[in-house]
Amino acid sequence: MALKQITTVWLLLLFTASSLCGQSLTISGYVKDFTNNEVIIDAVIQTQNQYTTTNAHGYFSLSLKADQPITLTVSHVGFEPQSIKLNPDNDSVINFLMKVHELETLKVIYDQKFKTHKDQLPGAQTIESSDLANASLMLGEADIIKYLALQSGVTTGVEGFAQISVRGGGLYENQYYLDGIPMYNTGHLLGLSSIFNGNIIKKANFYKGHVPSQYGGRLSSFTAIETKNGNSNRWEFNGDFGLIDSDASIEGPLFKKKKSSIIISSRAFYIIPLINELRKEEGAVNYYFYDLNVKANMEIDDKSKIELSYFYGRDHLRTGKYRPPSTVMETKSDLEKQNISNAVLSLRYSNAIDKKSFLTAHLGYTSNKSDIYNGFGFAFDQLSNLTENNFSAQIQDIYARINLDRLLNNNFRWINGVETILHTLAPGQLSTSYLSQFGNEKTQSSNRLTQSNQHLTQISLFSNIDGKLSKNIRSNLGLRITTAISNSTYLRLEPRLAIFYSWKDITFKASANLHHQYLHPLVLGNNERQPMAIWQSTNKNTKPQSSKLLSLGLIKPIFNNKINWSIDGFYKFYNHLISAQNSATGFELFFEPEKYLNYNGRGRAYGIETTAETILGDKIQLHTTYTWTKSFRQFDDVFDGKEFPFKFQREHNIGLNAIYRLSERWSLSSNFVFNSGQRFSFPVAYVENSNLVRNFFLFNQRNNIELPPYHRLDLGAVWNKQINKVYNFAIKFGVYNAYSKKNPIVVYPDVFLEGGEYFAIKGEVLFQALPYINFKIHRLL
Amino acid sequence: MKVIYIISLLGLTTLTSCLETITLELAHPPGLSFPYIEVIHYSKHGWEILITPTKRADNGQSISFDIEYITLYEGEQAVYTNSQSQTDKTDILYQPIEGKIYSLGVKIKGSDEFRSKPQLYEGSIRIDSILVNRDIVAFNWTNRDVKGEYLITEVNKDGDYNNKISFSDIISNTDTKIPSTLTHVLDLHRDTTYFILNKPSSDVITFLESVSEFHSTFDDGVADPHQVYSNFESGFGIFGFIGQSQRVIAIRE
Repeated sequence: MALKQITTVWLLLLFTASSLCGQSLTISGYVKDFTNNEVIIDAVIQTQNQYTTTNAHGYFSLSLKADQPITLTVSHVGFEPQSIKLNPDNDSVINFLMKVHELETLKVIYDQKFKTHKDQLPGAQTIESSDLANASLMLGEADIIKYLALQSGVTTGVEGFAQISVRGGGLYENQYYLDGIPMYNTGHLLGLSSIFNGNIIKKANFYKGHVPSQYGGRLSSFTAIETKNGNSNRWEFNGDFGLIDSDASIEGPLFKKKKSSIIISSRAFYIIPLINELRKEEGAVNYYFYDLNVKANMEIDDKSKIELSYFYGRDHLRTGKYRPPSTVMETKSDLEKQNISNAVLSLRYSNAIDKKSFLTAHLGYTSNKSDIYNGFGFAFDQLSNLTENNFSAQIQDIYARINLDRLLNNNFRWINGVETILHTLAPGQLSTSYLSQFGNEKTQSSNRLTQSNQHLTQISLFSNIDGKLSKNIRSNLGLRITTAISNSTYLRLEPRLAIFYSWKDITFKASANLHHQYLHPLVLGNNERQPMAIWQSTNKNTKPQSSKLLSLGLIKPIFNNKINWSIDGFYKFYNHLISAQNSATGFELFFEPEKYLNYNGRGRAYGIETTAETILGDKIQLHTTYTWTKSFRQFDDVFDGKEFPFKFQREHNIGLNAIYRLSERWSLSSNFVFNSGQRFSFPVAYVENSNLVRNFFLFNQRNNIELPPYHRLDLGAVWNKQINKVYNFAIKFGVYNAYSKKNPIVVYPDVFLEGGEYFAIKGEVLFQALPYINFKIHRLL
Repeated sequence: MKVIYIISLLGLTTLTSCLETITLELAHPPGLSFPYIEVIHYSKHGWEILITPTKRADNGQSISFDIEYITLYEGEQAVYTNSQSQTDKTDILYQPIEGKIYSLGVKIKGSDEFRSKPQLYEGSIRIDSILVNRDIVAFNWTNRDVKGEYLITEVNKDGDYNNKISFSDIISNTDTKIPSTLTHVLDLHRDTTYFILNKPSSDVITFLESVSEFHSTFDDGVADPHQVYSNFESGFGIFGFIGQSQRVIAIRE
């Protein structure tokens, strides 16, 4: 459908919905955890006929007809449901404090999850902290990105990867928000984990299909991560100590007179520095990371709250070393260092203005900085020289957003808001120096290349309305209008539409979405696994990249309600994609992007995803996914404009997750993952004889072959013991990749010269069977 | 301390015991062996014809083939046909005419005729002057083609090419206004006896540039592979002309 038509339809529907405003009775309030006063997100509040969920602040409002007795029920996975009978004759405020469900069975979880899934937006998924805790992931880490990679429609690039490809999309088409603030380059080096500390994540909403209009700026997916607020009733300590890294957090009430809390959490990867210290080996490879999360919040009054959160994380990798130049024998030495740091500061104010309106205001700062140093030294006899390169790049945002969540009649929820992002991009600075010495004679030179800072301002207005049009039909309509201002100005509209239709026990879901991306990652061809990208702004030469996504699916219980089954199909179109040219092989891409980029690329991706969930005997929970995906790209300047498979097209993907609750203390878990191999460019022939030129390999298409599949089995167990009322101890252990499949973390071409030149592909395998053990301590102070 | 050491060792085992380089076994590698056609007319010494099998990229094997004929077309008219079945005996006994357009057809037994894109024959070119000053040689020649690109081949006294033609030798000025005369200065690094100024036809230049691009990115490890240009619509190879001017210069003997 043409953009204008979609916009017209949306405006008509919006007008219709807004006309529903009228006099009715409203019940509103907060839903919180009784134990620690944490707000509960996505708790379901329902009457016989009406239904709503709490927002990211635990707030709900429900519109009802007056003069009828009602039963109001609140429920959420992990908590005991509560019901109260009301005979309201005017607006009421009801706050719920929910107790943790001590004896919650898998059947209860299963039923509640199905209810939630049925009402979720197409392609949306909610990840609870318990989901992360139960999954048996790499090194026992509760890593959200690795968890997402187990879901349908989501794959990783390669082993140990801390980034995902969603529905045939690129790695930098996914936006992550931490407490409402966008973040960049979210993987730690070596792909060991993401920068999000899973132990303090309260909840995450992942959108790969229909995306509410308050989110924008990426082409494939959005993940909004909310961290814990901390216990406002009493102090507690949580520790998670592993073989190679550990994290610890402390939380408790901040002020006595106000309802308030603070949580401080830190995580460090220390095994390599520790080993180096013990071994006393000079110049060994060194790698570490650490991060820190601090979040404080305070309720100003019954209606309003303020939150302040801060995140800082840093990675450091060093390989090689310098040796002192020798005058006797030839020596070579090289050193490479890489530092990546992320910082996020977020201030959030929320206010239940009246029974029907909830205001949220965000102000934030985010920064991502990368530094690379490499030096090469050489000495022979009286000659010594040293070449050094220093490269740095940074992106910084100042972020502001206000949104007003308004309850209309008939429980339509209308969210309106404005978002402003001031991006400052320092795409690159490269300093090169050269020092040569022969005896006492020195030669020295240096050079500096600087790409001037770029500024991009994005101002977006958004509006989203959600509600039931009839008993069987629900719609979620959104419009996002963005102006991107750099050295040129772009105005883009993003209409978004989702329709739900219920028939018997089947819910059909359809959606159409349009997205634009105004920041472009500059990544060299095969180097896309780096957790850093140098970002470039949309400008007069580089138009905003766009994607259109159509999806259709259904969710239905099958086999006498024993299996929750869903299936989705999608088709995605890309426009104005950019890609590094083949000739861009080094830092020049970052300094002369106009020269080394292919513009106006097109792409398409399509696929089918299916998920089945079941429980067996109230002991075993099974979650199975299968995804079939095709994804292609096309650039006029690449291989005569022929369409080629996208590097991260993985055609068949299977995920199987099982959790076995053996007893109150023991639970076992297992993952099996199968992904078709990623794509790679393989030559068809070798031209050995030529009068004109040097010999060469002949490629007929980019990414023309599929590499061997990726698969692994993870096994894990958790032993948990409540020592006394204040002290809980758990041991989490298992094996990642239990049968030692050699899944390479990086692949590269290799040319054999013996017996006739031919081409092969080699890979570096970092992890085979990877055992882990983590000790978890929870102590109420 | 012991506990820390044990934990460290376990961690070290976890991280380092698995570092291994493997060769990935491909189920269906796309290896092909087919004729590579390289037919170039040099204005100084005539046709050079190379029709040779390529090797499969996956295992280095090649498949031999028989040539049924090669045909030179002037416009759409065949002006010469050679039906020798062996590559080393294949020749084109026809002198192209300046200003005419030519294309080449090659027929391999068992397949359709491979036909090249048409190419304009511009004849030979002329070096106007050469200045020699110690290790520097300066060339000057009349530029008759405003879009043309040139290259200089350095040849040693035994007549062997010291440099196979590569991108760095291509002298082009297509981004700016082309002067009526072109000058190129070479730094000499070895004893040299003569130079050849070459003016390849446009497809030959595109081919040379693409091979050069291929080599500059192939070993890089991060770049995507570059496609080598072919001016045969089916099949693979290059057909074209290289206008030449040769100068003998005694520099250091």
